[in-house]
Amino acid sequence: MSMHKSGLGLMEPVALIGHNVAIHYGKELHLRRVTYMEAIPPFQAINVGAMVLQSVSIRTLIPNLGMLDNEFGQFRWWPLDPIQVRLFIPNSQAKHVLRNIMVPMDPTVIDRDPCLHLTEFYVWQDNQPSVEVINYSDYALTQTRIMAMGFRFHVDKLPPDLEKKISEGQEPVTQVWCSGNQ
Amino acid sequence: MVTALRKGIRRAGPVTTLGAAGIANAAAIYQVSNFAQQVGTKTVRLKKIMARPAGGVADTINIGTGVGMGVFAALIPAINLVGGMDAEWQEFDLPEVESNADITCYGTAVAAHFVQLEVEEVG
Repeated sequence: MSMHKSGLGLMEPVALIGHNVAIHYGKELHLRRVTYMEAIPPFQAINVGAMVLQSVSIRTLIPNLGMLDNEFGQFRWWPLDPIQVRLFIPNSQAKHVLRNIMVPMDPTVIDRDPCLHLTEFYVWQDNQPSVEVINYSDYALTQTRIMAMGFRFHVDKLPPDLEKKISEGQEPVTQVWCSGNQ
Repeated sequence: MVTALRKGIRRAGPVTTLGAAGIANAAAIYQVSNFAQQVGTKTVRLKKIMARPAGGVADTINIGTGVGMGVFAALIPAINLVGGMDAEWQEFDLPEVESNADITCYGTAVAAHFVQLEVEEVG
């Protein structure tokens, strides 16, 4: 999650046009300003495919969640099929990590958190996430689909003086964390 | 919302043709998920039953867990299959039984009934 308070109710953009954002990706920090944004309606981000019973897929990149240069994405997501899904952003960095376990997502999140706040993640440029799908059941699956929705943000660089003001806490900024276990 | 926190995933078991009649021949009609790499322990709750008597011959079917005398444990009372009729029990007909083992079924006197379950998988 980013360092902002997730609003109650349905999904809202993390920032609006004209807002400053601090985009964190691994150890990188990019101070930018949002110059354009648009909604990304719910869509099928990936179908990892058929899986035999009691199996784990290889870690699979989701190209459909990649962004253009100077853009970041804010996504919420849910599995459509009876699977558990582990999320990685990027491929080597686990998301939703506790001390002893990496917590997967399953379709019950739709009932337990209908607005999917707990699923939110961010993608910086083409550093898209990967998933591992667990077909935990004693039955094979013919498809393993993941749905996603959210917002796309185009950002421009800030003038150095504004970056300095943000660093000194004199200008507001929204923190956006675009990688896994930070 | 509060009740949704205990809500599971609805799944249908395979259409199963039971084997020979009798408790020693109880067949799995829904196999509970127990994959070593899953997160959490899964149980299933019985939500719907569809059954058709083999050859249109009336019988009772027994739904529970385990196979064999002294091992099979009924989840619900034996239910009647009326000869020549489709049988369907919906969620509101069924007690809220929950199982952490494979669900098995056998016909009391007649072989090869057709049975399918819908369950809610919790966990």
